This record gives sequence, C-alpha cells and structure tokens, in this order.
Amino acid sequence: MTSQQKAVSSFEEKFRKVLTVQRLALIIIAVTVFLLFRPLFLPMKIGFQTQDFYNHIEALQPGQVVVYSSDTGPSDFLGGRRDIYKAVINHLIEKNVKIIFHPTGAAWSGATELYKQLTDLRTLTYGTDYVFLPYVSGEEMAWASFAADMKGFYKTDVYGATLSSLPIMADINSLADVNLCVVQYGIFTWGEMFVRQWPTKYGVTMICMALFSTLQAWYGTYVKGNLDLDLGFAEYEKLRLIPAEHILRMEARNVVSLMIIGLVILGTIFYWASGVRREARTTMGV
Amino acid sequence: MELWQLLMMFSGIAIGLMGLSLLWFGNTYFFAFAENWLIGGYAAIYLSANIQGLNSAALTQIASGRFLLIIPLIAGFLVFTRWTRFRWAARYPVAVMSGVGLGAIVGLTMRSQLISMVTTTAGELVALKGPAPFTDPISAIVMIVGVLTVLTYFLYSITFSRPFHQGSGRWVAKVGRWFMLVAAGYLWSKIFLTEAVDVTTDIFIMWVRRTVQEVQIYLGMPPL
Repeated sequence: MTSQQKAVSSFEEKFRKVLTVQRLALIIIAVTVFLLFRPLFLPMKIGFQTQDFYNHIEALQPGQVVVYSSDTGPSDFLGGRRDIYKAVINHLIEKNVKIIFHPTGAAWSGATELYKQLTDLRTLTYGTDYVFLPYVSGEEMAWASFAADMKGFYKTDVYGATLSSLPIMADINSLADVNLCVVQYGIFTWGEMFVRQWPTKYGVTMICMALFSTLQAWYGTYVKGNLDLDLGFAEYEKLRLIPAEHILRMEARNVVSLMIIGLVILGTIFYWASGVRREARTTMGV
Repeated sequence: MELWQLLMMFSGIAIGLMGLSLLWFGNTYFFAFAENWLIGGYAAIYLSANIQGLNSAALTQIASGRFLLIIPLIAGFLVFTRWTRFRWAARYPVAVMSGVGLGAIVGLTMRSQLISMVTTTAGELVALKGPAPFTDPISAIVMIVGVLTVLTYFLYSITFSRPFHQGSGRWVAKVGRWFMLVAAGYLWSKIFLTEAVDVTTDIFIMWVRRTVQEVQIYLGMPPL
C-alpha cells in the first residue's frame, strides 16, 4: 500500500468514526425540519402520469359518474395524505360529477365524517351528489361483485339507507354506467386485481393514486393516469396551484436524496482510492 | 382546535418519540410501550371495523330478508373449526374461496396480463411507436428486446432452452438478466430509498410542522 493509499484509508476510517448512523440520522432530521419551514422552492417538472391523471379529471362533464375507491381510514385521512385527498376530491366536486365512494379498507366508516368536514363535500347533498358505500371484506371478489351489480351487492349505504332509494343510484347499476374510476391503494398486489375486475371487464377508464411500479405493466392500456405517491402528489398540487404539504415534502426528499447519493459517491471514491479490497461480507453472516 | 385535542396531539407526539427512541437508546420500556400501544390500537380498530363490516354486509342484510347470505356466513364461521376436533370442516370455506377465486380471476388474468400485453407489445413493434409519452421508435425496440430476452431467461426446458443458457445464444438470457436487474434496481431505489425519505418527512410534517402551526393557531398567532 502506498503512502497516499494509507492516508486515504486513514481518512476514511476517521470519517466512518465521525459520521455514525445516529449522527447521520440527526443531520437528516435537522435538514428535513429546516426545509419544512424554509422551503427552497426548487423547480419541479410535471410528469406524464400526473398530467394524464389531471387531464382525465379535467375532461369530466357535469353529471357524469365517478367511483372513488380508497382504503383510507381516519388516521390516513388526517395523516400524511390529508392534503392530496382533499385536493383530488375537491377537483372532482369542481367538475360537478356524481361521486360514489367505494371503500376497500376496514377502518373506512370512521373516516366518512372527516371526508365531509375536510373537503367541499359539505356543500353538496348526500344521496344526490355523492354516496358513501360500506366496507365489505373479500377484496377482489367483493370488488368484482360490486362492479357487476352495485345495488344488489351493497343494498344499503354506510348509514343503512337502501341504495335504490338514493337519487344518485337511480341510473347506476354496474360499473358499465360509470365514467371514471379513481383508485387509491397501498397494497402492491391490489393494482392487478382492480385492473382485472374493472377496466379489463367493463372498459371503464381507471386512474390511480399508487406506486407506479405496481401498475406500470398496464399503464396506457388499462390505467390511464397515476399519482406516483409523494412525487405525483406534489406535481398534482403544483398543477392545481395548491400550496399543500407534498410540495414541502418533495423539497426535503430532493435535498435528502441528493445527500444520500453524494454520500454513496463519496464512499465509493474512498473505497477505490484507499486500495483496500475487503472480503465480501453478507448480512446473513455466511 | 380544542384544548383536549391539543393534549391528544401532544400525547401522540410523545408516543411517537418513544417509538423513534429505538434508534438512539435501543429496546427500552418506552419503545416497548409505543410498540404495544400501536399494535394494540390497530388490533382494536380492525376488530371493531370487521364487526361493523360483518354487521352491515351480512347480519343486517339477513335480517332484512336476504336469507341466502346465511350460507356464506356459515361457511365463514367454519374457518374457526380449525381450533376444534372438527378441523376438517375448515377445508370447505377454503375450497369454496379457491374455486370461486380461480373462476373469477383466470379468464380476466389471461386477458389483462397476457393477451393485452402481447397485442400491445406487438402493436408497438409494428408501428415502431412506444406507449405515450415514449412514442419514439427506440422505446418500442427496447421494449420488444426486453420482453423477448426476459422471456428467454425464463425458458427452463433442458432440450430447447440449453442454447440460450449454455450455448452460443447465452448472451440472450444475459441481456434479459440485465433488463431485470435494471427493473429491480429502479424498484429498490423507488421503494426503499425514496419511500424511506418520504416516511421520515411525513413524521416531521405531522409532528413538527402541524404541531407548531396548531399551537400558533391556538395562541392566536399567524401560522408559519
């Protein structure tokens, strides 16, 4: 080992000692908290998925029917997704469409009042402009049955009123009567279930709020738009000119991601410059 | 925000900090308290929600005259016979769910995951135009190369696939492997790197930013 390699190696060892995991976590926390109150307003390009999502909602005509499917419970709705759910639901309301809220999460019934409080749903008439369906377990089978015969499958709304007695459901029987499905899910395997049972079978347009990797294979064919989690949420909020929290989150994400990439590059440079070739180790201890 | 809501918010922050303390102080009583609080809370919420679901999806509807729903209800309860000496009865709901599930899934899976995929990929190749916004010919060619080489990698026939794994055509399977590695790398970075950062940011937006704002509103100050 040359003297230069020794110097690099010794610097690397010191660097490792100074920058422990705990200290790195503190730095990330400090940077994140600073950016939450003092955003840098970095430029943001609107991606094609977000633009498609936005365009499909913009193309809705008054009186058309939208199924809004979500696994959101009260904690999700008050948590990190609060602003984006508000933004999307308010966008739908602006277009004067009828909204059928289709739950896929067990904690749904606790969130219905929050939906009314936090969005412009409070300005609409329940049963005429929108309806909350109750949660039914069974995942794909339940969604397939709902799509085939909405009133036969559910019978009542979340409050126990008969679905067929609600004006909004007068001309809606199956998913074939729906113009757009806005689907939000968190479990990765759900994407293909929705694709299978809704757009494939009924030809209905489906846009999502989910991780792009879980629906990439069907994008363009069955899925026509998507908000790719925080990135998509921030882009959508920018498109809608809403100063919401996801734009701040993107600032933090950009800075912290750059920092991580920088550290990886730095580590790689030190590794190669030090000339030390360590034996490959695995976390499995073998 | 009412005073009790503010207190609830601070209690939530305290429990959250106890959870985060694992990073600096290890598995302490505080961390264990937060962990058990979370698991117990979720169990309570989901138990309550499932009872409500059972009530609205089955019991209420049976009471209103849909007596045929008694059959799936009984089939569902048969699952619990696994805890008794009549455990054989638990096979029936599993068999019914598997049969119905397969019936509802297989045909649509063929259409959505096979036929549509093949026609779309072939269409893109013929038109030399990838899916929007990748409407250039190169994207279409890359897509078809990726599909064919990845499929080749998964050919397991000893007779017919040996040339692609060991013979002169082994570069084909190797290209397929590269395509899969790139996809896996993207997936890894997307899920484990960016989502981890998002979760961190989420915590501080909820704990720090919203708390500061709520306290400011409570005290009649303009929020940051």
